[in-house]
Amino acid sequence: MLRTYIAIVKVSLKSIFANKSSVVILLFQALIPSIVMFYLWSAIVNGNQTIGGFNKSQLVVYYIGVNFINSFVWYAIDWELNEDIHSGELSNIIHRPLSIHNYYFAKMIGDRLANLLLLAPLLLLGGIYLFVNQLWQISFLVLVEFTISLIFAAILWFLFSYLVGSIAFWFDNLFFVLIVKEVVVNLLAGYYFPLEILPKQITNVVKSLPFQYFSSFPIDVLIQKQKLSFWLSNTIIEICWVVLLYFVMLLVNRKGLQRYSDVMG
Amino acid sequence: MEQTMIDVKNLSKEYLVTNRRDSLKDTLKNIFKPEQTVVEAVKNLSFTVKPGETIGFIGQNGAGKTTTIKMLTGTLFPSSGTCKINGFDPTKRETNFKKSISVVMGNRSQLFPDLTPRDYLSLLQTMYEIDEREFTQTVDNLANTLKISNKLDTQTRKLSLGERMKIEFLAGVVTKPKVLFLDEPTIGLDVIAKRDLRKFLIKLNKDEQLTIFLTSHDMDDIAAICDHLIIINHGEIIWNGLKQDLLAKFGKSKYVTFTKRENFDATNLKAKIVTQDELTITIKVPAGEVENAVAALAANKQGSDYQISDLKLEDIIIELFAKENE
Ligand SMILES: Nc1ncnc2c1ncn2[C@@H]1O[C@H](COP(=O)(O)OP(=O)(O)OP(=O)(O)O)[C@@H](O)[C@H]1O
Ligand SMILES: [Mg+2]
Repeated sequence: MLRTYIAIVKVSLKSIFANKSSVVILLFQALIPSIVMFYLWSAIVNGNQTIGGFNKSQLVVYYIGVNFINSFVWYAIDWELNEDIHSGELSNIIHRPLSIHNYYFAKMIGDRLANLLLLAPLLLLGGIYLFVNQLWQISFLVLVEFTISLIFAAILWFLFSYLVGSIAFWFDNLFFVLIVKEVVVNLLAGYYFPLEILPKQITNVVKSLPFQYFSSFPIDVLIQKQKLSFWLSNTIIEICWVVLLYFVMLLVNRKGLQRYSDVMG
Repeated sequence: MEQTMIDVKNLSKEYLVTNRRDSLKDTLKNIFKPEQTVVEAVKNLSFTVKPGETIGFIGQNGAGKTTTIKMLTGTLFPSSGTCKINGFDPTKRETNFKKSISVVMGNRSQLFPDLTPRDYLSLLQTMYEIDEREFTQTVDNLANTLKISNKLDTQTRKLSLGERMKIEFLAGVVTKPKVLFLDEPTIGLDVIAKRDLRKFLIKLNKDEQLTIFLTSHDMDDIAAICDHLIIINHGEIIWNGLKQDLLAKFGKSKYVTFTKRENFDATNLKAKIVTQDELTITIKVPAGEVENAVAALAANKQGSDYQISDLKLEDIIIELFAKENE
């Protein structure tokens, strides 16, 4: 069974590389927002000023980091599921000897690995630049913490988006819902700006939601010299979210498939 | 071996369709109190299919063919009734059930457009756990029969419709299913491609005892491939039996087609009119009376250029539906 899903990962990865245009688009998608955000913040924060505890060089690292995480984590599984449900494409997967959520997960992994491979040279260059210019020092432990957080972020992201996409089992047109979700989640995850720059109370509320684990938390681990206990306690909470969402996902998936099979097939 | 491959009992499907209303007020009503009508797509179907049979599942547009296939393959759940495929209940979606069937739909591609057919096929090989050497051999063989060997390494999105359909077929059978469900698989194919596909299916059925369940609006497909016909009309079976028996039942008549002449008078005809236009007419005459009928028409100078033909499957089906819908 596992071999099948590994094969799906490969196929998904191969699909990305098969399309040169998608490769180019991907690079632009990763680069342009980082550059825009970087200039925006450079204009606001000058000299030795800090904002939400971030100085200018940390903000640079923040945006590079956020986009790195982005390219590994954020896969539009919700849009894809919505499309597959309404086009009936889902039936092609249902009658295969596969489990639907594992199929989509394998697809996401393949797609994200492709992204990572494509962006690796850029990230490496960026990393070296930061390192050489001594904008950034990092310990091995932090790197390990960060990698683990990245993997959990991908899993949590998958569960969350899969749930959002599952709404399509019950409703016809999700376009508006998905757009709004996109903006809200980006905001709460810390993609637009570090969550720390919000007023304290709001930051506290936002940080008790699962969304911060998509971007904000891994990047904090990477650049804010936090204690191990900070990482550990957050990771335990994150795992709880993963477990919770996993069971909700199984339930919703079962009900959704039942409904799909009752009305659409 | 199972005595029956497909066993359908009182299978029904009702769809609830929400009536759309246009004004804003009605849109709100739609959300809170939708007005729904029930569409009975399939009504109380019962039939059985033996292993190795080739079924032609025939019906007009909207008769319920696709709905039935979806229920038999487990993607759609019945409203009532049951079906068993090779002993499995499709709604349980067991892995062994899924491995024992294949579905090819003419209007829905299952291939991955960005990849080559070979990539896709090798994914299937892993998914269905088929021995690699055996698999490669089957693919080569079948690709040869389908005359598609040279396209296996072309990106799928660059294939023509016919080439793509051939790959869908190939993908449908390399997984070694017990039953192959085909929903209008020859839509949009040229005559040569159709011929290749028919030959391919007939060969598979002979060599592998593959059970084939086929819907098509092309009666030549059905005539070439199927030996057992199930004909449905508005979701209900109106004929279930061997193709031979159906042909024999209608074989007692022939069609006589001729060009109308100046003396032509429809009221003088004793035979039933099948079709007619300004210039020509086709009538149905009992086989034994054809000669007399033609002689009489000729004597009265009613027509010229007489052509006598057996009823083709298509003619029979048209007559059946005409009778049903009277
Ligand atoms: N998802 C659905 N929701 C509501 N009604 C449906 C749905 N699918 C099919 N129907 C209705 O059910 C009936 C049977 O449809 P079905 O697709 O099974 O016909 P078919 O025999 O395959 O026709 P065709 O030859 O045109 O493909 C039709 O009246 C159709 O409008
Ligand atoms: Mg149909």
